[in-house]
Amino acid sequence: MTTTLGTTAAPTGREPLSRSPWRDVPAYRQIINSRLRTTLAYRQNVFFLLAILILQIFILRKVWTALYQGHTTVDGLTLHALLVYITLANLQNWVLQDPTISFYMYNRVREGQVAFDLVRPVGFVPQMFAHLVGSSFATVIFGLVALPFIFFAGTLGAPASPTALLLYLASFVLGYVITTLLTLMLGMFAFWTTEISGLTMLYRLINQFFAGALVPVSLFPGAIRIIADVLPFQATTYTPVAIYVGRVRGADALGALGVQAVWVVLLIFASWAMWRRALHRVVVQGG
Amino acid sequence: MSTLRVAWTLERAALRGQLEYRLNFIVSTFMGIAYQGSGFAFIYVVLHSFHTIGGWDFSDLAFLYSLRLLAHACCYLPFNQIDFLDVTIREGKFDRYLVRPMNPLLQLMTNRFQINAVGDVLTASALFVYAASIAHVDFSPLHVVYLVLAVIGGALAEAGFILAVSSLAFRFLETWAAAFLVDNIYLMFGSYPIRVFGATTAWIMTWIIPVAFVAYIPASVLLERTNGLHIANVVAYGAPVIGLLWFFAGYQVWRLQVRHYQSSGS
Repeated sequence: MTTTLGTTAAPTGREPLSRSPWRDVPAYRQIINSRLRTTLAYRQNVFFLLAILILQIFILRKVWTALYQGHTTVDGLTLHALLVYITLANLQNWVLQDPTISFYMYNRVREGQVAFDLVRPVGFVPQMFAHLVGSSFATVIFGLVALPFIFFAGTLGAPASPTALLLYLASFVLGYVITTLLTLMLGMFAFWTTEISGLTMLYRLINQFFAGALVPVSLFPGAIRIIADVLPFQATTYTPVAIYVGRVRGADALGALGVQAVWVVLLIFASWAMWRRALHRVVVQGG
Repeated sequence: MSTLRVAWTLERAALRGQLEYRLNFIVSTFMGIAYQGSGFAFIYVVLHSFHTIGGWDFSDLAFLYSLRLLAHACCYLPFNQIDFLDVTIREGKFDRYLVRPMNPLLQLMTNRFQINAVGDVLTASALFVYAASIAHVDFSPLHVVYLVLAVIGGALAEAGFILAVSSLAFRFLETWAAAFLVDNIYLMFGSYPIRVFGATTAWIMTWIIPVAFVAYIPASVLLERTNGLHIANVVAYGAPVIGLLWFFAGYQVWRLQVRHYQSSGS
């Protein structure tokens, strides 16, 4: 038997007015906690993924050092500032990305368990947000474990100035929200397609490149620069890290934060619209 | 010979099976192109502002990159199912391969077909044609023979190492991340003149993991840059043989590890 769940059967956020928004906090805390522990329990493979990150940072440092031979400053960045940029951008990009959540969503949809998620008193989208936050805690812990190795493989350095640090933190938070929204939308593709592994891999590559993890976006030539500017990925990594190393500062930095804020609003609308459509597509097999 | 004929029939059936899923075929092919092309996009972008990496200009690097891709495609086309060895073992499916009258490795290789290999072949061929047209390579008959042998040798060097690492799945059951790491090492270290990583890393990537033999050493020979190499010229000309030796070594590791196979018990 096939059951189609319409909007009436699923909680769509229209809770009674008397309900306090804080009521669900223990539920979110529970999801965050269990996701954190699950990710930490399956750590065997994470060390290999961390090894890839460390090697990538090492390779980029060596290649960029070779590229800088005969140059002192390129595009307003000294070799040291560029290496700090590359190290931090890759570390941050790694810590904030978690492909396992989109796979988790995909499996819930494919195996029909999404029906249980939908009838829970807490909305589906906030549940997935909680999962993402939980796994981010885990990846931050892994990132901290890797930090001594990254210190040797790459170049860590202080921010350009105290102001740069403050702006970096604000930009980092906005970048985290953008990444989370993008990951959520990627996972929602599970409602349309029966195979997302190819899509996830493609997303990872496009994101890594256009986020500026390999090359700062400011060094992209003409057309590629325009593509990078109209995509949201540079707002997740390039913006905060370029602020950190002082490549973007003052009024430019505030403008960049504004662009990030616009992306947050746009992506909230986009993911909300996508979710409305996804809900109409839920088909639960069996029963 | 008849074994090879059976293997070829199985491989064709696996490919036809995958072609049934048209959308997935297109997405996977595109993914293969994006995956292999993304490293080249990096080289293209950085050489826009800078002109050389370790003395190699854009045409040299494009040639090196395309040579690595060709070797990788030649390795991945037949060996793509090695990626699924650990799942096969965990689910006890390796039992079947052991009771059928054909080499278990050949059965694993022809079990399914990973469609993004087609994307790899397309990217490799297109990039090689482009790189060959801009690189300063003298395509004399001797060089062409060396090129063909070097691509096969490079594929064998990569396959041998991946086979050895993947066969650890017979003991450790979950090895996809280790295999993914090896794949990334070939992709990342193999795409640049290895000397830029320093003498120690260059040595490791030559004698511990045979990355340099896949493309860097053959490309140095064909671009007549052997005087910049960290190894003797004789070894550089013999790169295809070293690939073959690595494959034999990898296959021996596989044969030793197969003995540790325990079925899933259910």
